[in-house]
Amino acid sequence: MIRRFASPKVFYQLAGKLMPWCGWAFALFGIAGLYWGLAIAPTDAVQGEAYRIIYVHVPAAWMSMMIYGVMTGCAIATLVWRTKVAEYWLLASPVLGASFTFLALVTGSLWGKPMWGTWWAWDARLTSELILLFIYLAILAMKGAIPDQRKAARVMAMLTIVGSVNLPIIKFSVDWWTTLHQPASIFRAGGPSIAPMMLTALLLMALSYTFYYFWLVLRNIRVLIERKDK
Amino acid sequence: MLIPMSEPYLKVKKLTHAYGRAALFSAVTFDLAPGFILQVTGKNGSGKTTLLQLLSGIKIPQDGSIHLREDITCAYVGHKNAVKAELSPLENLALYQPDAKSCAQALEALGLEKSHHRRPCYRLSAGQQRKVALSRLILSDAKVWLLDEPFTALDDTAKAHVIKQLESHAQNGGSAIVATHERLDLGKTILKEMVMS
Amino acid sequence: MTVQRYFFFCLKLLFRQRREVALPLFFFLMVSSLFPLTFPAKYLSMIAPSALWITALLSILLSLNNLFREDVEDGFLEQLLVSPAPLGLLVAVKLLAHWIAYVLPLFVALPLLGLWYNMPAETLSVLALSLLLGTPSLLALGALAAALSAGLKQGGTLLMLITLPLAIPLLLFGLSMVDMAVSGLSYAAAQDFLFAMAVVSVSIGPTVVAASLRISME
Repeated sequence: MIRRFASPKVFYQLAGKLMPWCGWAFALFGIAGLYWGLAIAPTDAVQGEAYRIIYVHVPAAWMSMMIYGVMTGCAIATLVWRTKVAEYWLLASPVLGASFTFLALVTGSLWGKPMWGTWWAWDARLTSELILLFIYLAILAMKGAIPDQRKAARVMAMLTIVGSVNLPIIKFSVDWWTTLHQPASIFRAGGPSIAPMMLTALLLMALSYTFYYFWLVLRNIRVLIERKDK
Repeated sequence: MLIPMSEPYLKVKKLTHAYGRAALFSAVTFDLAPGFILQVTGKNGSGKTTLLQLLSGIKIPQDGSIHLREDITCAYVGHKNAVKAELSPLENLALYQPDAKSCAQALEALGLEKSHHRRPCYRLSAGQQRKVALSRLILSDAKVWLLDEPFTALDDTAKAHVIKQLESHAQNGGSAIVATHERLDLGKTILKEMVMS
Repeated sequence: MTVQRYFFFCLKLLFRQRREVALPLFFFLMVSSLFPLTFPAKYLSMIAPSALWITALLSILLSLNNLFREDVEDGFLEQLLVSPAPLGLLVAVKLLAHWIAYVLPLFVALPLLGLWYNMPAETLSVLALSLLLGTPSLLALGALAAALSAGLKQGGTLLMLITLPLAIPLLLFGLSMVDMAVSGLSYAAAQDFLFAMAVVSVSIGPTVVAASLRISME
C-alpha cells in the first residue's frame, strides 16, 4: 500500500483531498490552543502573564525538531530507495522547518526580555535552536545552488542525515559548554512544574502547528509535482 | 567459474537516462563483444557523453542495466584529460604504472617526443596533453576502452597513432566504444556504428 | 591506480603547488595577529584559545575549497570514480595528504602565536593537543561539505555554511579542554570526546565523503 502512495500521481490526489482537512484542523486547534493558553490556563506563580508566550514558543521548538526528524526519514527513503515522493517531501520541508525554528527563537527572545531583561542569552536551549536554524539555512542554501531537482534532493538528503547524527552531539556539546560557563538554565518549560492545564494548551498548539505543517507541505509537494509535469 | 572467451564484455539492456526533464535516451540495448569497436555518433547533446559516463560507472542509470563481465575492467578517457598540469607526463602516468620505461613507451606510441616527457604539463599544448591522457589506455590492462571525443585537439599524425592503438587493442581481444564524428579507418577491425538521436 | 600510489601522487602534487598551499597558512597568521593587535592586553589571555581555534577553523575551511575543485575541473575526479580501487580509501589518503600539507604547518606556527598571545607553554600545548584531536573530524566534515558542493558556483561559501554549524561541538570541546587546563582541572573528558569523534571521523568519514562525491557527480 505504501508503494502506491510513493507514486507522485497517487500522492497528488491524496494530498489534494487531505489539504482542506489539515487547513481546518490547523485553524480549529489553533483557536482552541490560543484560547486555552491565553484565557484558561492559570497564571504562572513565578512569571506572571508574560509566560504565556510559551504556548507559541514551546510547540514551535517541538516542530522545528519534528520536521527535521521527518526530513531525516525522507532523506533515508531518498538515498536508499530513490522514492520520488520522499524527494519532493524533502524539498518542500526545510523552509517550514526553518520558519518554525525562527519562530521559536524570536518567541524565546520575547520571553527572555521580561524574564532576564535581555533579548538574548546563550542558554543551552536557545543556542541549540540557533544552530539548528543554521543547519536548516545550510540545507536551503544547497537546495538553491543545485538546479537539477533530483540531484538537489539527494544532496540535501545526505546533508540532512549527517546533520541528524550531529544534532544530538551539538546539543550535548552546547549543554556541556553552558554548564561550564553559565549558571544553570533558567529557561525551563513553564515554571517548576507544568500544570495539566498548561500541558493541554501546549498540546493543542502543537497539534495546530503540525496540521499547519502538513497543510503547507502537501501544498508545496503538489506544486512541485505540477511543475515537474509541465 | 569459467567464462567463455567469446562472452560479450559488456551487456547493456534498456538503458534509459534523462537530464532534468528531457529524456536523453531510452531503452538502449546492445552487447559489446571482444574485438569489436563501437562508434557512437549523434548531434551535440544527444547523450553520447552521458552514455559513456554511465558505462564507465561515473553516473548511475535511472533505468535499465549495465553488465560488465566479471574479469573485465574499463578504461575511460573523457572530454577532459584528467592530467595534472604541475606534474610531468611521466609523473602523471606513474600513478597508473610505476615502471617509467613503459610509460615512456606509451607516450611515444602516441607521438609525444622524449623531450616532453619530463616537462610539467602546463608547458605542453592541448594536443600534447591529450596524448598524455590517451597513453593511460595503453598502460592499463582494461579490455574495454570508453573514449569520448578522443581526437579533440589532435593533428592527423596523432590521430593515426590513436587509430593504430585502437587496431592493436582490438587485435589483442580488446573492445572499445568511441564517441566521435571522425572517420575510423580500422582496417580489419570490426567497426559497428550506433547513432544517438 | 593503487591507493598507496595515489597517496604519494597527492603529496607530490601538493608539494608542487606549495605556493598555493601556503596561502591558508598566511591567512591563519594574519588573522591571528589581529586579535592581540586590537584587543587590550588584559583580555588577551581570555580570548586567546577561542581566537586561535576559530582562526584555525576558518583557515582549514579555506584550504578545503581546493580539495575537489581542481579534480572536478580537470576531470581527475572522473578517473577516481572509474578506478577499481575503493573510492573511500582513495578519499582517505587524499584527506591524509591534505592534513599533512595544510594542517600540520599550523602547528609549526603555534609557538610564534604563543608568543604573540603571551600564552604560557602549558596552555599552548593543551591547545595544540586539542587541535590535533579536533582537526581530523573537522577535515572529515569539511570534506563532506566540499564533496556535496563540488562543482557548484559559490561552492566555497556553501562549504563554510554547511561545515560551521556542524563543527561547533569540536570547537566547544576543544576550547573546554583549554579552559579546564587553565583552571587546573582535568580535561580528560573533553579530550575523550574529541578523540572518539576523531576515531569515528577517520573510520567512516571517507566512506561518507565518497558516497557524497558520487551523489554530487550524478
